[in-house]
Amino acid sequence: MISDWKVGSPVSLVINGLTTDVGEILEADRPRRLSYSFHHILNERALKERPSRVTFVLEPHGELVKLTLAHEGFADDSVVVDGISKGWPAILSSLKSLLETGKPLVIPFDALEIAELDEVYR
Amino acid sequence: MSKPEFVYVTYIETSAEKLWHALTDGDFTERYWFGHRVTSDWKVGSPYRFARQGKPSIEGKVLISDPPRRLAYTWDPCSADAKRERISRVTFDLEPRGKVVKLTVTHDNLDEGGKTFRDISGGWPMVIASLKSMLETGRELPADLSASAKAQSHA
Repeated sequence: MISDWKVGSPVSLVINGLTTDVGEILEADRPRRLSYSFHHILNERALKERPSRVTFVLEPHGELVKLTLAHEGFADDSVVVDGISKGWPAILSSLKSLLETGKPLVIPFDALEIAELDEVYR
Repeated sequence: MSKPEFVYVTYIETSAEKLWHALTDGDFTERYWFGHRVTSDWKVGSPYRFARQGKPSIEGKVLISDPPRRLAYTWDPCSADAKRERISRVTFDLEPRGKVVKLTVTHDNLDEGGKTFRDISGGWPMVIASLKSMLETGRELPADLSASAKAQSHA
């Protein structure tokens, strides 16, 4: 993820040097709430869709943080919802492992069964 | 009108066998399931029960038992409020993926807008987070998390 994380600034997701998604920072209330628009640009049909919205809410509970992620604003026929739905659980699981054990998870990308990502990771 | 369902997917660095054991063994559930100890012989058709400090909390019947791939049971909370709602169902799917296991928890056959749906929507993320921490770090989440989270949601 590349951004200066200020409201109004751009944000982009870059994998292996390839920019796959872009957006704009909508809210940046550190360390409580972060929100940005999200637009997948690698696929013609995805490009035509309006951007969706990602919101992270961080709530401390003693020594823990409750993290709530909402990704919304998809059209009924969105072509990216499937990939989004499969991607987030893997990313969040790996994030939790990284923060709690010091190491991210190693999840084989083909295990996510997201057809589109094959081009990106080949 | 479709009934609501709750689906939670997580990836845990463990084996399917260890994860199955954690889901079905009372010594383990007592630790990560906030004091709720499960007992069952886990045969299809057998009863199972969770109890906390000896007091029954959830009970039901085993529907599917295919270790270490798939476990399913009916979900019948022991409170008077919950007894007025339809008995729901929980399915655990355990899929090894290299060094991790993909765990999918599907809770369905719930009453729309019901207390059970509200309770489990908050409960599953806590229980699964605690289970993952226990398996990966040896330490489950603090026992008072469940109580403090309930207090917050009623505030």
